[in-house]
Amino acid sequence: MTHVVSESCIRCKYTDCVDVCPVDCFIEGPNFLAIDPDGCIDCAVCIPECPVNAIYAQEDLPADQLHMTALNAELYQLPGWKAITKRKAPLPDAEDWKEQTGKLSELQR
Amino acid sequence: MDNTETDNWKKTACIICSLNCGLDIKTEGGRITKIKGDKSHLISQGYICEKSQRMDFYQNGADRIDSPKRRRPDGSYEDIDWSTAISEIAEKFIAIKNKHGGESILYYGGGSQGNHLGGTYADSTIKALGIQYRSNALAQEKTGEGWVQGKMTGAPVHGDFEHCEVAVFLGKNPWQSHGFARTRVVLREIQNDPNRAMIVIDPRRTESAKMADYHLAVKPGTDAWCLSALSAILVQEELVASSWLAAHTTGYDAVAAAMRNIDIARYATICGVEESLLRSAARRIASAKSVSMIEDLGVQMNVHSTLNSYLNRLVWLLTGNYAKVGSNNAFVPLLNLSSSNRSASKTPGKGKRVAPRKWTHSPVTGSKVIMGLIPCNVIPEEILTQHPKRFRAMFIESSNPVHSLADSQRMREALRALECSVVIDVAMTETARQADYVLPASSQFEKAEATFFNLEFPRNGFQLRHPHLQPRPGTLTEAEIHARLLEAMGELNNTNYTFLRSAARMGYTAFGLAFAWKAMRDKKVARYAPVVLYRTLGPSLPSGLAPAASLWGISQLYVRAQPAAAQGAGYGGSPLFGGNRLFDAILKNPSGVIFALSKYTDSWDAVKLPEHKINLHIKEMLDELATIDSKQPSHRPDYPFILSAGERRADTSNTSIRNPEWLKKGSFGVLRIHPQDAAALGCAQGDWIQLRTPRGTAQAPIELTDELQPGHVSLPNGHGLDYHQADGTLDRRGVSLNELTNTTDRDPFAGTPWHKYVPVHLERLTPA
Repeated sequence: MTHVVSESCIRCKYTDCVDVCPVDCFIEGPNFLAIDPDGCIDCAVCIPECPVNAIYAQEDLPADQLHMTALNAELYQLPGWKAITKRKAPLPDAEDWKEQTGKLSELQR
Repeated sequence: MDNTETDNWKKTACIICSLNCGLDIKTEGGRITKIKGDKSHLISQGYICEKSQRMDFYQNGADRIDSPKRRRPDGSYEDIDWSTAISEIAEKFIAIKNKHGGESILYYGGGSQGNHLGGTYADSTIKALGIQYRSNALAQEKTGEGWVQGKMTGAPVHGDFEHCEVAVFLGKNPWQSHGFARTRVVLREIQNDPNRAMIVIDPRRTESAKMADYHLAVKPGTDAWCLSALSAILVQEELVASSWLAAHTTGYDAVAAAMRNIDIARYATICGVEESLLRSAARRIASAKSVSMIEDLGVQMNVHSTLNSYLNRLVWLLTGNYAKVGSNNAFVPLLNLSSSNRSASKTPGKGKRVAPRKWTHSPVTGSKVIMGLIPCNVIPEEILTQHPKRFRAMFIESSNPVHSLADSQRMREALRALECSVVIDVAMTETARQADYVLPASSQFEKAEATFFNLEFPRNGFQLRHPHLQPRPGTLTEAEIHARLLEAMGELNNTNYTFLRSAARMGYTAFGLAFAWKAMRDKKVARYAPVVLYRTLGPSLPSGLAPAASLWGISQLYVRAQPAAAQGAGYGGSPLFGGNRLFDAILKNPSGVIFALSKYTDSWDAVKLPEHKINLHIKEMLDELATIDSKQPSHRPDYPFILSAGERRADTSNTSIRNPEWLKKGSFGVLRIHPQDAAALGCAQGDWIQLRTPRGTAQAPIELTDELQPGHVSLPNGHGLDYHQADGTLDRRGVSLNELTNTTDRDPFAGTPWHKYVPVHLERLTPA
């Protein structure tokens, strides 16, 4: 079991979640955050922090986001994706993208 | 302290379990609005779990009380002022003491999972009233273990799971119930390291069992067969640490003789674990460089619980796993939760108080007093009788025995049968609703607070939490309540205080010298030291920290009792100065201080037996082991299921969190059951079931799970509270488990209850 960042985070990257993670298991790519499935302890503290409600417990993922479990794990293996433990400013056009759906094609690796 | 929004995070701690992980919180308008882990906390290091997010449901419960209350004859309550409450309580308790002796008053509680500071002041009230008997929730969990520990080492121990090669969890699911620092992180580390192993002994396939390398899925109630088979394998296969045992222990021959008699194959059949799995687990333990083992309520609230605590210790002692890195060690407590009570322990020790022989057993049932506590399960029997030595009054502090102890119905009757009862609490609990007087305490976030659940080794830490919210008007701290009681009883007044109060204004050194001088001339200063400290040193402490004054005395006693560990942590030298420096550090470090730094060899000094050798042979336990074949758990045909009452789950909390709105996901009171059993009852997921035990009935929706064995069902811990909404409406969700349990189902040695082995009959409820 783990928690999973869903597509809503893409091109927003608000990073409020990383401030509260007790085990520092968020990683950061160019326009998305993901969770280390082995580091996550299912505490769920990050869920209410996300302004776009992007984070789910694995078993609560909406049907159209089930692919994100494997994607979070895959991104965690990418050498360019680094741990992020302190909040920073969201992406400049986060406000424009936060209501958008179907953003998967926008994900940069 | 303020109620306005601020960007500043404030340091405090979680109050849900005994780890008390450090928290950073934000407050706004009297509410706790944001909570995260405190990364500067010396023990938890930022770690928290989901349960930490529930603090405001405690802080702002609708059933918090803001005035002392007195019960009317019709069972309703009227508000009274503090001076009336204190003087009436003092008068009534003194009258009971004068007529029946202090031994007719039972003190219960003194703290919960997050608050032990108030209990330090209760010590003064206990002495003033001559109270001889105490109890609290430890006496339905840890007293069997405490008794065994006293006979084997004389020192409490704790495992080093961060560094052990093999971790053994007995009747425990640490993923949910924690029990050691940064639990889930440490579990993941063990799971992911191919050179380490996890062994879980539990009938349920829990989160922890799923992570384990060896899951010994015993049949419910058969842990004693599993554990004795493990020791028998160690002895019979000659896997024991022979030279270590010869050097450091006594009594091995008697243990070995008992273990050689055990028919391992037959014991494997009785406990339902494959013999080959038992053998490979025992060999893994024997081959490990270090093993840490911890037991919890799965065995401590089950049949053979004291025997299981003994057998647990044999497994790691036979393999030499004590006093080294990664094994069990004797941690150094700041305040020993057991010896701070009036211990009946016969263990010799420097400066230890030994109670008079006559208080070693409870007055009516003659139950053994262990760790200074009478068993929770005998309390109603000690009251509901015409016995001349029965308890006539109870003083209950920060505890909820009506909800938390076996047989709530009988506990309510017992409280109502008393001549007088007082409850100190923050909320109108189930227990408060039976009391003659209810005194409202300020919450744990409105006053200085702390716990003495400090079990780490070799570094041990303590955190004093500062107040962050204004106390509710009408509430008082426990320190103030006990001080007023002592003064109303005529035990203390300004003549005891004035000189010390002046000395306190000149600093800790002057105060320490003055205290020693005064205590030699005024017996009451030493006798009632906590309250005297609060009244004299308290006013000189920084704002809001007066209730931390008892920690000055505790710091002084600690550096004298544990000079090596204190010196290791930087509090050595002259005891007065070392104690003062420690107290000062406690006040100034809101994320906690390291008060003890030990060496592994110190664990041997802690063994309070001749030549610091561990005793392996407890005759009562080996006698019990020899007869367990006649005590195999049997299924009564009229109650064909075994209920584990009080499972810790993601959706359980503790009962300090009373407002049921805390539960964001899931439902209250769900009975977990194997699909095969549900099918036999004609039930599907979510259907409602009627439970009937020899004591009571309840109704619950079911969840199908193959994580439980057929015949074994479980209900969650801490649900079913009687929460009253602001408009007085009763909001009860889930099952109050102790409506289903019996006080007579208890361990023959320690009197601890069998809540994990409750016979139950299940029946499908037809939809209306």
